[in-house]
Amino acid sequence: MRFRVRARVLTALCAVMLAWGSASTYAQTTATVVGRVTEARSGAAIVAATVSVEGTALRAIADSTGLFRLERVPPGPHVLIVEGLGYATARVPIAVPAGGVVRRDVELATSALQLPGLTVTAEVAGRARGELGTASVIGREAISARSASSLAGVLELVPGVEMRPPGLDGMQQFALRAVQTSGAGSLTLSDPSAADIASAGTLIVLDGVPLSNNANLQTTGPRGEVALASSARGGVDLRRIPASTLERVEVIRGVPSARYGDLTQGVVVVDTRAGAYDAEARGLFDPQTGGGTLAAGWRLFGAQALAANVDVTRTGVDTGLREEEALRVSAQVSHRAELFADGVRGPPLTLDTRVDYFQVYADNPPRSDAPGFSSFNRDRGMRVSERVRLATGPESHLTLTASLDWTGQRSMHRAVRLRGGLPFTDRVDEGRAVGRFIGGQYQARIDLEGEAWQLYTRLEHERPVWLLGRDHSLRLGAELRREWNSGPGYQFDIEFPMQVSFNGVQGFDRPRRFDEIPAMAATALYLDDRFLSALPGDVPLELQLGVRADLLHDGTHWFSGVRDAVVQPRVNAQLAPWPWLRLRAAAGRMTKQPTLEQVHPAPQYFDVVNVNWFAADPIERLALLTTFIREPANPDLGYARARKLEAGFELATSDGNASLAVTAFHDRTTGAVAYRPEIQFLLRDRYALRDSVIGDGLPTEFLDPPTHADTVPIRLDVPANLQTLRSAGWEATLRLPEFRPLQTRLEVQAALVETNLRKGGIDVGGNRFAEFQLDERVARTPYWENVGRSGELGLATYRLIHHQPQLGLVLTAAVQHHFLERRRNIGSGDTLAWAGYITRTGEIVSVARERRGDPEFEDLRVSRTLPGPTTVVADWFVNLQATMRLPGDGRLSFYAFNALARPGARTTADRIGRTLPRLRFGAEGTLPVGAWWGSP
Amino acid sequence: MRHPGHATGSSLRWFGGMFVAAALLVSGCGDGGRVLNPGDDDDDGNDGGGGGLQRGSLTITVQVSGEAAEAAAELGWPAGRLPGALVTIQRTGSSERSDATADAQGSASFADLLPGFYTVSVVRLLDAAELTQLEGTVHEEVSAFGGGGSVEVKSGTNTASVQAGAGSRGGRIFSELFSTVAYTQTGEFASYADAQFVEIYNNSDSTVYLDGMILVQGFFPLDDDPRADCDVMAPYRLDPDAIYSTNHLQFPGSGRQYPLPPGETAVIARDAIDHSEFWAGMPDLRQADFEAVGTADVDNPAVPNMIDVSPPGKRWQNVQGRAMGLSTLTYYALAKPTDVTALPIVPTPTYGTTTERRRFPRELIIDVFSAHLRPQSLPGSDPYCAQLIHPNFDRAPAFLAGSMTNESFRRRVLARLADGTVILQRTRTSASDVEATASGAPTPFAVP
Repeated sequence: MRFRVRARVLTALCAVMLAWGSASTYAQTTATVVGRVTEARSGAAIVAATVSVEGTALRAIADSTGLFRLERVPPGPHVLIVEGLGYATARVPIAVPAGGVVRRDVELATSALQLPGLTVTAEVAGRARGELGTASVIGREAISARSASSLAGVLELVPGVEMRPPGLDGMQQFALRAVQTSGAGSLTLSDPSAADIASAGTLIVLDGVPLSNNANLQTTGPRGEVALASSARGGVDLRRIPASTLERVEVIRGVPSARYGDLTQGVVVVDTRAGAYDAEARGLFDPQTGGGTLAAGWRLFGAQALAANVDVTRTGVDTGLREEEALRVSAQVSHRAELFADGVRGPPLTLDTRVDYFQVYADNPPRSDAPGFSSFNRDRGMRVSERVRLATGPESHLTLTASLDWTGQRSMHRAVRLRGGLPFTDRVDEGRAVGRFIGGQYQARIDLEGEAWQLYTRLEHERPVWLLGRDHSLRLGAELRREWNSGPGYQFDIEFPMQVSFNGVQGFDRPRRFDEIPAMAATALYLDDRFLSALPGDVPLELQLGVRADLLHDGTHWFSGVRDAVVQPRVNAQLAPWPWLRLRAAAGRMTKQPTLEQVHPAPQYFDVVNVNWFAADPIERLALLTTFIREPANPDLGYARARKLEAGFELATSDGNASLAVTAFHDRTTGAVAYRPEIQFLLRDRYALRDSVIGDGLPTEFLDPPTHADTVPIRLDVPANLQTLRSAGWEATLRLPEFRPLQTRLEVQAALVETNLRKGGIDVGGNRFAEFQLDERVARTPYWENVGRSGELGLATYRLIHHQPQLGLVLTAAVQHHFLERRRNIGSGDTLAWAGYITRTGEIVSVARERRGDPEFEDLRVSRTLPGPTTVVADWFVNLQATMRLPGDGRLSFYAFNALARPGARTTADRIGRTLPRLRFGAEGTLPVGAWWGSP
Repeated sequence: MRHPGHATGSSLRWFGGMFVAAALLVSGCGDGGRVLNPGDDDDDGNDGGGGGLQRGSLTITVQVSGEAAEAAAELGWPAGRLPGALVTIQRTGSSERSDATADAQGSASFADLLPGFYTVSVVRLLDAAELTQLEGTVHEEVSAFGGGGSVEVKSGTNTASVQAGAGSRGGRIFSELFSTVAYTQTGEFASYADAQFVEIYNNSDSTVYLDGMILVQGFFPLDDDPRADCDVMAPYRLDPDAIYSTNHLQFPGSGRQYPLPPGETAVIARDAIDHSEFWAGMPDLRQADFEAVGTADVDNPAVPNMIDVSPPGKRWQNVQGRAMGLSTLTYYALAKPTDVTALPIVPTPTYGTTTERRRFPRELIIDVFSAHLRPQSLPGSDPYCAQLIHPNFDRAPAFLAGSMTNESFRRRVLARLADGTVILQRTRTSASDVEATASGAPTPFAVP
């Protein structure tokens, strides 16, 4: 057990809180925002519109003349969210000075397309609720303008994220601030890649409850030959979340508050539509993807609201060539009850109930030209969650969230296999057996059937506290999580496995039931404080300080012992010396727990061939094998630990119409799980034979006891906290003011990220070690240490947005430019890069670097056969989209992905070519069916 | 090899009764050198106006030099020229072949050619009278001349010269290579490679021994990556004095344990078993003479095993424990018995890193066999280098393989002696010497 309590850091945090607490008062550092909310077309006042400051709890309601007044607004660039019943929500940028009153009038329209200053991208100054860290906030209007099939398509508005055509083909996992390193895969065998680690470390919170992939066991493990199209080992497959039901997406790229755990990279907070709204039907069609959504929200008796939506979307993969398809069905029902409300203050008790269902079936049925080959990957899930929010005072709440999440996962892969003759045993326990010779063509099939469960509970108390002359917003919370899997698990006929790669030392896998695997339990506690202070000279400083403790239990429940624990301090600071400038910096620690597969890895089987006597006459043949089983579980396996640092600035004009945000970051995750090659050896008995005369027609027999034994080195793949992922770079977003004569403006987002992945401990190299195992004449084999890979990606997206509010028309041209893409393997080609050697009895002998050139080590001076540096040709493509308002406030969009049908640049003398996504046209429409049938 | 032997002592003197297999060389050539072109009408409306393709003519002079020139002089041919040679050209990317016979001055002409690159192969088999002429000279073993190269044809008149060398029968030579795999279905990895084999033939008139000899697999740079393309690999690929190899197997024995009588074959099988037991249509290799054994493939106890002497870390066994994977993309060489551990290991560039290859000097190499893929026969596959090895070893590969599936390649028959002994053609030009087997299927243990 490793238990780290960072008392020093905690003390420092407290000291900082106290120090800033002794400075000046609010009056000098906050401003008041006033304004009037009117209807765009008529100019009439809109009564009871709510106006809030994004990322804060500040909120005001417009009076009978449409006037609103927001007090104690911290200085700096902000976004006002203005909502009126029956109107589209407006996002209004504003630069707030440090004191005084600033006026901002707001116009609303029934259709957002008619709103002046419509935002169809992530807002530069956007803030996640309750968070000070760098965030991209994507509102409903920007989501509607996306023509996306799932959440993944919406996340393309985050700097550094590549654009893909809408559709459900292929896994959609999202990783913040990390790029692919050399090779799509691993350092050795099936170690998680940088993309796996980063996507697993990007937390997705759906309607207040984290989604989890920790209990996903849909993988054939580190030795499996078939890579299933499952999201196991990485992040959640975002195909399950339709874009059409999203209300708001907050992507916290920087340091999240202490409220969020089980992550290393950042948080995506997703809210789906709830409450009362007009029923609408939405459809998206292009040659590959078609789908539709029906959604509506009703106000019920009392203060209750019910909302429901259903989405069905299908994508055909390589339409016309194959029958492969992905089908999603998703449905959500949400209910809100506000109890004991007196109509003056907020309701004392709010109950939010949500039931989510989804299924994503990716099917690859048999083709007529390849019978015997097919596969599917089918996930479906149901989640029931309840949130009880009790008002314990003004702006003070106690919230209990509980959720039970079930995901049924089935994967099947079927293929025709053909293997040469080989000795075989089907033992499932240890020991020697007379085997058989098998070979030839067979139909192989594996089935993985698991049920991943998550029970999640959070209790949080949020209250303002007057402390040391400051108004603090405090959050104190506790989380409980329990995750497990059940189901028949990994099933196949041992004699007819997918893999044909039995090598005489490693056996074919054996089936494994998932319901025998114990559960994982985790507990967390957190405290978060946000307050406004001032530096000398009355420069306003906003701080968010927090600390979080995560505990991973060694048993299956929260009362069992602690396997690992990490205390994580987090600090976000924001300085606004002028209304047009915000300077920000943050630092924090985070942790990610290992997955169920890593904590409870499958046993590994070694079938050692003792006798391989394949005489011409089948009667005379003899196969003798000994089965060894080794458990690779690692009792020391614990949390991956991350440290995030960032600093940046935001500039905005006084009307908020032009802005620039730049953030530099440096993230480092240590202890991400990889497979540690644990070198052991097996004793292979050798036997004398009786009746071994060839052609005598007598069965050959072995004579017990064995005459001698030799050693067979093996490697166990033990999950361990070995990998270090380091990502550094910058992100920038630029929004220029509208060029009025053309009603067009330009927005640019860009990111340059370098990711470095290193594996600690030893690495033995796949093929090299296999040869050493198999050939007893090879006395030793080299090993390497701290092997690594890196990748760099520079990506810029330029968006020209032409908007005519009077016509309700928006035209967008988005150019995505890959200006840099490079990958390399660290230490490839260096014949002295090895660190030592391994003997046939599993002894690990290190050799000093200065001695590696000695003649006695000539057999070890072999370079690892790793590819050298690879640079991909820079290239760009254009996406076009036209959206127009339909009568009755519907909308219709046409889009062309890669509109110029660019194929991608070819390979040149020193650069590898790039294949761009193919040209695709499509249309999307939203019809307010509720308006036709009468508003609910 | 263990089949009853023929009488020894046959030699080229009995060439009178032979059937010259030259006809095999001209198979596939259509109408006397004319390259077919769809829409073949001469529209001379605007000369050089950039409309239609301008055709060209090509005159090839076949030259000999060095040792071959001395043999040619013995035969009374014009200095440095090879008269009467059959010259075959084939346009890159096309399956059409044209041939012409060189005149007394060694010149062969082709007309009406589409511009482009052409591979040229040259063969000149000696007739009985010519063989008699060489008898008693130092060039007594020479039975044929052969050569090849590549020329570019542009519109108008083109001239080129091609070098030919003198070929001898040789003793231990490759006679068949079954290096492809059998697939159950295209597009999926359900393949059977265990029936691969190499067949060696004694083409001489005296018994030879295989003890301690080495079967060497060459290498094949692909032209897709600038870090290890044909140019980068040229110093190793086209070294006139050596070949480079990562994988090689040594024959067992150290003296005269493994004789190979004249006219006999020796088969080295990946698995010396009846492969039809596991996959229909595969050959029965139970009678193979040698077996390359891995840890996981079956081991026939009746067949002696080859010894893997590849450099450390480069054993000729894959991670599945299956031995000797042969490839259509490269060449194979036979080397004289030697202590391979005394040969230098050279790091050669490979995709930004290096691969260790053992350097076999020219004096050790006694035969080379190169059955290459046909140009563009695998759509979408990586491009490869046209020349795999320096002409000192083999002048041009046989671009024969149409796919990598279930095809076998063998050496052509040069002559059949009165006693039935077959003499295989060996001009050190695989392009001339190698053909696909008649049915496409492997024919182990026999030459045609």
